[in-house]
Amino acid sequence: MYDEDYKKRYVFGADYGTSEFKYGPITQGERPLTVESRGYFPERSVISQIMGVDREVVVGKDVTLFLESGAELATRLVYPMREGIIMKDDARAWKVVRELTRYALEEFKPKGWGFNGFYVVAALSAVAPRYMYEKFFEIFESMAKEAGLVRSATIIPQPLAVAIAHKKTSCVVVESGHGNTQFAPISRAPIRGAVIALNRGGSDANAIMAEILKDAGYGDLAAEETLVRKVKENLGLLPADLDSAISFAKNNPEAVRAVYAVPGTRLKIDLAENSWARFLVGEYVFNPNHEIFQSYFKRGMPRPRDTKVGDVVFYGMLDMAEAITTAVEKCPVELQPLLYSQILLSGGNFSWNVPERLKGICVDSATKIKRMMSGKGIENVNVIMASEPQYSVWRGCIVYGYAVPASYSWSWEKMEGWMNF
Amino acid sequence: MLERDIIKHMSRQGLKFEGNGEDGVLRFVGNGSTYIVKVLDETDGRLELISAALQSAFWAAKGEKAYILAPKSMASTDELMVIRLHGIGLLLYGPHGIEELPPIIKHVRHDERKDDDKTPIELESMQRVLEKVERLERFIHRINDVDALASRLERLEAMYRELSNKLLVFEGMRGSHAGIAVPEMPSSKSNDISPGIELPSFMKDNPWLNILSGKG
Repeated sequence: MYDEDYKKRYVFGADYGTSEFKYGPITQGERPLTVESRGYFPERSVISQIMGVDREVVVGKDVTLFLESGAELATRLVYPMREGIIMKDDARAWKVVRELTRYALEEFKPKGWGFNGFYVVAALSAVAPRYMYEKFFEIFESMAKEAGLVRSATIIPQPLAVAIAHKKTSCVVVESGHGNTQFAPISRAPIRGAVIALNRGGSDANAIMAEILKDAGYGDLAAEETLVRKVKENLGLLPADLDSAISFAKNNPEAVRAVYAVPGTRLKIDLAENSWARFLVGEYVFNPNHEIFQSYFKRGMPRPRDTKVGDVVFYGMLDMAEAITTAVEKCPVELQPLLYSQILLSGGNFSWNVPERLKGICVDSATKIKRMMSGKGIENVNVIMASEPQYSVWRGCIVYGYAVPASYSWSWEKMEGWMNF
Repeated sequence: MLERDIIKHMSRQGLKFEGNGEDGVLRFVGNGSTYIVKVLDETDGRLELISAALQSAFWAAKGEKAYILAPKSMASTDELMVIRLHGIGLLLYGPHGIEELPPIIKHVRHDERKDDDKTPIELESMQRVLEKVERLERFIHRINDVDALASRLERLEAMYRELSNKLLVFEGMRGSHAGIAVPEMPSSKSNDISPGIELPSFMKDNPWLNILSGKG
């Protein structure tokens, strides 16, 4: 009972995402706090000391105060993760992660009696290598010894946390972020040997959107990444079937035409006779193998390539249905139907608008996956979209930290349990 | 509006407005001196105050009468005192108009300074500083007492932590001795267990609670 009551107060979730770090204790309620996953290394100067900055790296909301320093910004502002992975020897990246961790834990460190350190549950990418686990445990150990902030810590893969948050005990979690997409089968625990990763995410949809803008005469805007992303979110469409959608668009050009007025400016983006290309944006994320994309590759748009980060291969051109079947077929045959019946989509890259007048021509992500799976002869597929996907990982961490017994020590073999300090 | 108020305030003291200097600086002449007023507004912060103080100190060192015009809410009394100690006057504005706080130590050029040239204002300020030093000494004595209490508290917390860890180890041994997992979490965990702190909604009826509590 002692541990249960203690955990009701002091379980702490930490979701280390590539672009955002989400954190907070169980008492935070339904949603964690969020800061950008980055750190700033300020110049050591008299002025910075007058301003009370004597730290080597600044993280959290304070980073904004330094962002006007201009020319050196690129070298001083460090984003520690690439595709969810921190390079082993990237000392500055590890300093940022350490500082982010300290920042988050200190923000919630209670004053007074009864606090004996948090039970920290950290969530990392499903493809994070073992050295990342070791480095994170070193960070937590130093937080325990230097400041009494950590009592015990554990690390779980992000897709497991998503499955826990959505109360699915057997499923395939598909997490699609800015730079990559992970497919992780779960059956009461992550099936680590079956994880598949794609070197394709929201940034690739931005890339083809930029090409479409160039073709429509907005070449000067195509270099503005934030604007391109906004245009993608407002004009990009996910077709049920690309060929049928293009045919429909050519016969009904006004039905697919849309104008995006950039807020706060006089700028209006009208794809006009190129509006049919709106369907390419969504399709490219799900399946870049259609012949129509060849012309873009020939004109210089980089083709998503197979790449290796650490020991993990990120596939470039595998379509999403193929990736799901590849992951599931690495699991026991008996389990496969159960996994196909629970496919959980999570991440902002799965949010596609379906305009009322284009219903049937356009679909949402769940319907698209279902159709693609059917095309591969796999029926009885149930696909659901995660609600509030941005908070799922943190929520899963909280449930995990609360439920796993405090006496269960960390096992490197099983990659689970508590590392006690 | 603010500029008009300050021109009116200075002209009441017989000073003539000479015009705007660089960014946020107003110049006046009169009484045989040049008066420079650095203007800060509500949008400025601590950094701008430090910058204005450094700039004004530079002007004061050159023998000009330097002032900072700032909103009353910008700085603490102690910070304003420090600025005034460096030969800078303050003009504080608020809903009730402009209040002038002259420099505590007036800047005098080296060639004008004499050994016995201590103004009553300087003596008064030294008296205040002395009082502050005495007050600080009293604070330091109190801090020593607090430090002693804090170290006792730290020792007690360390003991408490050690005992808790021993308890954990003991419970683990008891569990493995019995050949079963230690039931840290009762099976009723999937629902609200004990009164007091309410668990978040995503924990309620979550099948993972039973799976995970059986680990180990």
